[in-house]
Amino acid sequence: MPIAATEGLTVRYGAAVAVRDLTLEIPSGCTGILGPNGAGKTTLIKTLLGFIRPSSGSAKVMDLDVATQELEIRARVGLMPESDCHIPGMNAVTFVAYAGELAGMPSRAALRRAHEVLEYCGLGEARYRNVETYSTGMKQRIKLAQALVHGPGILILDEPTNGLDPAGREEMLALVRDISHGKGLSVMVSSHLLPDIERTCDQVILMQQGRLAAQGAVEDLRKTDGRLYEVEVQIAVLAFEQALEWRSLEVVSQVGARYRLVAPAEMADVARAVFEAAREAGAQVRGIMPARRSLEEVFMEAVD
Amino acid sequence: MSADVTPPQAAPAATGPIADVSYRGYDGPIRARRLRWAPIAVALVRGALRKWWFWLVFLLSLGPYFFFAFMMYIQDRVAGPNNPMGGMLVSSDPATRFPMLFYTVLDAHLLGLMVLGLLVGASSIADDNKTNALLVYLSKPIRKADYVAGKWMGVFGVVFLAAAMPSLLLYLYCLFTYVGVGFLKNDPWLLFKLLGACAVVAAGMASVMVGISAWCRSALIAGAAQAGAYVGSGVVSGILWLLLYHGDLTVKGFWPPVLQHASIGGIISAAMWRVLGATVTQTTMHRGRGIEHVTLQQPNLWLMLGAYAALVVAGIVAARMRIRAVEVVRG
Repeated sequence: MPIAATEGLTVRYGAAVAVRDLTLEIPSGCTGILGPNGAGKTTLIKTLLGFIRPSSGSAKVMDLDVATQELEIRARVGLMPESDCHIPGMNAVTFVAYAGELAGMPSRAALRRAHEVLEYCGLGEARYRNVETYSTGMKQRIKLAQALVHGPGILILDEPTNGLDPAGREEMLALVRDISHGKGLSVMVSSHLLPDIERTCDQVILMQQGRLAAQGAVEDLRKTDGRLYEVEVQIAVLAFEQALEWRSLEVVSQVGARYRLVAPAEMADVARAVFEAAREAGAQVRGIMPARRSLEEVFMEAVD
Repeated sequence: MSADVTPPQAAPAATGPIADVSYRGYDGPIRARRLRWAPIAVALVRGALRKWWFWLVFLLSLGPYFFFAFMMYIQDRVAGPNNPMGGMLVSSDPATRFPMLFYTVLDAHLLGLMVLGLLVGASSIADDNKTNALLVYLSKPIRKADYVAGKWMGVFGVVFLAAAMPSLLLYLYCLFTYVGVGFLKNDPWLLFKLLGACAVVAAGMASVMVGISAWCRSALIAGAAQAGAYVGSGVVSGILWLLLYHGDLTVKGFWPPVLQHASIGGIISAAMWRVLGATVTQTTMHRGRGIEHVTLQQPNLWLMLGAYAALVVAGIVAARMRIRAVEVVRG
């Protein structure tokens, strides 16, 4: 069963259409929502949480209608917002326990659970510090902790690595990766940072101008049509490139000793042709493999 | 690409106070939805009671109670046990003597209660607006109405406690001291009326504070707006009453008492007066007539009741209108 689904969903802000006739299913696991600014990803998240009413069409989260069952949805969903959000004058434990109480947990259970999630999020040592004194990385972690405290089935992360230094980003990505795999929790990550999505998500949804541009497993989207190969040689030589082209293997790019080439559709044994070209040019082949597109290439292709 | 990502390592049991730091879901009890406002109210009250300046202002605001308790003690000593009230403090009918006492004390305490309400209420929603905390609240299974109700009840609770605690102490003092002169017999329901009057004050204050706070993004601005509205409306109504009726309490009619109470504090005071059912007399000095005891006229019941209801409802509606998880700019 998908964790969320939309059917002909349209969301308008007055005359402006933010999401246009969107039909999609978000599977369980870790799903990335990608798109340029104004693509409608944040509007989609807000609609799924019931903050914004759809103009037409329908949307469901865990089979609950966003228009009529938004409270049931929010009981099962944890949101880590993009912007800083904390309650002034509270330390981390009080803040997270309070978030649990808001979700309906009894105060004692909320307090115990707050300690647990703060430890999990790596804030155990700083749990009694006022949240206002936290660094950006710690603030990101506490946003995650307050989203997790009531044990949601779905976690929505809006730009989770925003403003983090490289080390903090690594740690946050590791946390997201950990929580979305084998913990019985589905995660939706909205980000404009393609490497973050690539590293954490199994599925990706690409949005463009309020429409669905592409959707699928990250590995599937990165696959090429089977004619694109990557070949690495010990030392790049011009003769190798010429030998490849003589065999109808078109070199589309070369970075150092790494070639990316397109094989003709009728060619049955590409590897043999590459090795023959290498022998002829006196080059030593280090590796040959079907090429994969980066998520950036997939994104650019979908957006174009 | 994902293969090189390692999950966070759990702290060894010996180094952390919590042995198992791996994530697991929550399957414990969940409170009924109708009580979702309660943690918000409790957090607000708790936050206020923790601040030293709250207690300082509270103690300072108790001046009228100390004054009246002291005066009564002195009267008691001077007049003797047979006539403890001695007519010095309140000279009205014995049946309404104590309601008047409590009305006078509470009315004098109003400004202090307003300051306390302001200290708690100014930041109640404005701080959440400033720090985007509304997203934390509204991404949880609570309605906007729960949020407003929680904030309102928090401010109400603080002001009610601040009004009721000293009032109850004064009531107990009167009970033990004046039970022989008909304290209970004359008005057996006075305790409930007193609590009702405190609730009326707290509800009015809470609505004004929460309503204004919701429209501000800074507690300072909210506080200034609240104080401005309270004091400003009082000054305007006072000036109009002075200009039109020369401050003469003996002038009777529909408008003079209405004008006297045509302010936030006045409306709350009039509602409290009605609840206590007090007959209030005041000693005034008139240029031509000299010193006289004037029985004050209450403003029209329905007009003031309507004004009070409008004040309470307007504050709640204003807050409810402003609360939203996301800013939606209509294009």
